[in-house]
Amino acid sequence: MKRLPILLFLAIELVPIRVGVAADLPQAYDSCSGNRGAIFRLANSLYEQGQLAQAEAGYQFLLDMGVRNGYLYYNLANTRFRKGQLGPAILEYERALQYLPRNRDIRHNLEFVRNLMVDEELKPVQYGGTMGFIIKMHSLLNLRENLLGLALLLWMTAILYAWGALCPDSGMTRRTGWLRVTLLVLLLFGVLSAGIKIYQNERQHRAIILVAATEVRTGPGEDYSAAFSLHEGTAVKVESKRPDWVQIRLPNGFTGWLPGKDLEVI
Amino acid sequence: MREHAWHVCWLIWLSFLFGISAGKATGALSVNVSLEKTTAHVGEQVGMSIEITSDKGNPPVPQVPPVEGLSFHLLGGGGIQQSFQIVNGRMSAEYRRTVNFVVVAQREGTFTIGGVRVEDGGENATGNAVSLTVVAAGAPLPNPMANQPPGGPTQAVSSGTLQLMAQPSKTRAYVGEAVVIRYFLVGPQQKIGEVNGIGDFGNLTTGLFKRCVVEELPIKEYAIQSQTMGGRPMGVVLLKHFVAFPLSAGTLNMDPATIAITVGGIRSRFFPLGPSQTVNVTSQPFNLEVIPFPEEGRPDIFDGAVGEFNLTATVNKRELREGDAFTLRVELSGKGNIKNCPPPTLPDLSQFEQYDNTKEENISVVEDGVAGRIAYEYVLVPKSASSTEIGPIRFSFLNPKDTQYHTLATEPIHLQVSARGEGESDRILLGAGAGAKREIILTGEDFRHIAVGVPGAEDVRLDLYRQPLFVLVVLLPFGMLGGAMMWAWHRRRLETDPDYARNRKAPRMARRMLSEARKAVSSGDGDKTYAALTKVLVDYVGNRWNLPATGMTARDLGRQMQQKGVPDECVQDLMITLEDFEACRFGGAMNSNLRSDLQRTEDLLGKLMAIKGETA
Repeated sequence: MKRLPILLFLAIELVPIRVGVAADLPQAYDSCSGNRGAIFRLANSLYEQGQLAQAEAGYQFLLDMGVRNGYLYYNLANTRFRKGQLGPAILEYERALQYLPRNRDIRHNLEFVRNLMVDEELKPVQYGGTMGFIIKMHSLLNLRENLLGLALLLWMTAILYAWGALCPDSGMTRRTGWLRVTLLVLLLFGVLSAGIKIYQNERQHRAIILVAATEVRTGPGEDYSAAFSLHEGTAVKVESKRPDWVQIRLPNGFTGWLPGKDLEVI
Repeated sequence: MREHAWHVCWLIWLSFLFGISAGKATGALSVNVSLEKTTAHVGEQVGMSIEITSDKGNPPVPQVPPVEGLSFHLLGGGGIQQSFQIVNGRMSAEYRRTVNFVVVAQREGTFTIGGVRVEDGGENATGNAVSLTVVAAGAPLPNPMANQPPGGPTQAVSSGTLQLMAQPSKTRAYVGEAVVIRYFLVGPQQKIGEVNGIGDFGNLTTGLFKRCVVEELPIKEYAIQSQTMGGRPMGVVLLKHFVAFPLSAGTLNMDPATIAITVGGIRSRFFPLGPSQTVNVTSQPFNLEVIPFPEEGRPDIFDGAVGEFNLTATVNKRELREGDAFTLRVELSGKGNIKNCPPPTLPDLSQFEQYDNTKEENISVVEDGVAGRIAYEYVLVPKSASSTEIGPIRFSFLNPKDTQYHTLATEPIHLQVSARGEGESDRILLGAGAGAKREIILTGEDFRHIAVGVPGAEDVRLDLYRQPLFVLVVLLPFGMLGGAMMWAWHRRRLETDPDYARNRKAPRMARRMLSEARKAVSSGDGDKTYAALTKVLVDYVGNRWNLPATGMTARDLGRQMQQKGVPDECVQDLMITLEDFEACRFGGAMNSNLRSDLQRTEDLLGKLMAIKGETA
């Protein structure tokens, strides 16, 4: 049992993954033998040497292998920005923030890149006071952390309440009354927070415009008139999808249809 | 029970909070401009209020466009009020900021203040236009309020035996001069001693107070003082203490104030106990004549300061290197309308680069006005290396005691600035008043580097809720909690319900007795065997169907079981078996029958248990 973590480490870090390596990776990565950690480190090194296309290929390869984490998205975003791809960079920063919502570097670079956008950023309604504090707490954790915290809270609450049911007259039960109520409140907050995030993850899709400029039309087709235009990097909410066309909505309420190839869901 | 109530309260609170977030904010950005009056004299101060309403959390501060012939001075305000509204089940939030200005007319004419503009997140709004007609100083104003006769300084209206008395410190004052207004409760000492509660002054925001900047000196404790009035000892309690600074000239009317007084009952920490009576007491209205600033001897730089003030100016260093920053600190202190008066007039500072200014206030309301100090700090950097000088800093005010204008001027400050040598580092700004400490200034903001030395190849799954193991981990506590509650319920019922306890222990007891019967069969002891077998059946039936079986005959037991709805076949079988065992026990039995009777008992017990869904 004690060897399990070591075996897991070996499985993740050291066992070469050769599926598709030779076909997709540039030659620079031959020495990595499909080792994911080695590919990531080499891609970082290539980025620092200014070989951006090679670095991007490394990061992209890891993504193609199914690796998902905030640092990978962040480094890929930086690479794409330095290659002059504004929209794809913002897309990857947004993805990185979903994994690392408290990371200041990601927020800084995203803000930096957004300043170069053509369209003015449309921010949602900002709340202050208690509501603002609750929203801040809600956005402090990513979905994974939220769910793990929820599970921990659930166990702690269940243990305390079970103890209270089995030993109602014990000193511990009397002393932990407030703790139980506090845990219950935190639990409710956690459930609501996780529920909102799951809903957003499943139903509310945001997307980023990837092309320099695109016309938003009143219907799903080129024969519909253009309602307004959007530029690279602008975030939109996806309302519905048709083959080749996507209905989007802006925070200010503007809505219309775009070719599906002009944007990508975060 | 109390705990459940707490849980429900928390749930309601959380539901309320999230209800707010669920509702989408509605409404739009709007600006409403209002003047306290539409006519004024030259030099008179007129209050202007700008109210910004927005559906966003932080309504912006408005920008007032310049109007030739008028000067605007920000008075303050700017606090944000928040309100929620529920319409058709949807909650909307509205935020309101009110900013107050004083408008001073510099010449005659009719002025239109329009184009007050706010901008919030790409949304613009422009306020309504308001007009102000300015006439020469001393000319009559078409203001109906000005025609009312001035009231007396101390008036009171009786309400039973208690009276509310309004006492202004003066009935004639300059614009901006401090007027202390006190409200006393007066009555016989015994009656005053019976007062248990004092209501709010609900209507003081109208009338005079609407046209003044008002500060309140909080009353820490209602102390009863004795005074002789009309030869009678009376109790006097100071209820309110205000300091008002009139904003405009004219006769200001103070409306009567009404408060509710609770008399009688027993004093309690939270509310009066016992019989009590509430009476309303109302003060007499009074007038305050506000006179404009005298024209004679008015300095150019005078901007409405009234009181007695002092002015000092210092720098944190006089010998500098070229490019070094220093702090000029100008401190205005004294008593009067210091909170609203403009900053001192600075000399020409064109030989310096000027950075962000800071303002530090230490002002408090005192018995006879408002006093304190305001320190303005200016971070300056000399543009070139030479001897230079900061000229006199000046401040003018009207002293109401001698009705004269006074102008304060500081001594010039000489600075020695030396040139910076070759290769010396660029400028480092010293923070305001920071002495030798250096403030770190961000000179460049750039794109940040990639993340290295991080677990960038790990796969982090956000959607844990899709993983069966996680779902199991989340569901297990519910199972554990349910099990614990069931067990607690079972234990409690065992302790409180004897029938339940007998019922639950019946199969276990029967199995134990059957085991003893087997031992008796093995030993070949007939009496002991039949006694044990009889006990197995009688005890099980008694416990299971809650019958007082001990001491009953087999027939009685059978009758009782039939009444409990046990099938006749089982009842008959039981009765016959028990009678047979009794006969064997007292009539003697063959050892060879012992085993078959044990088997017979086991079979019968199995049938009885099957009725209750158990196994022997």
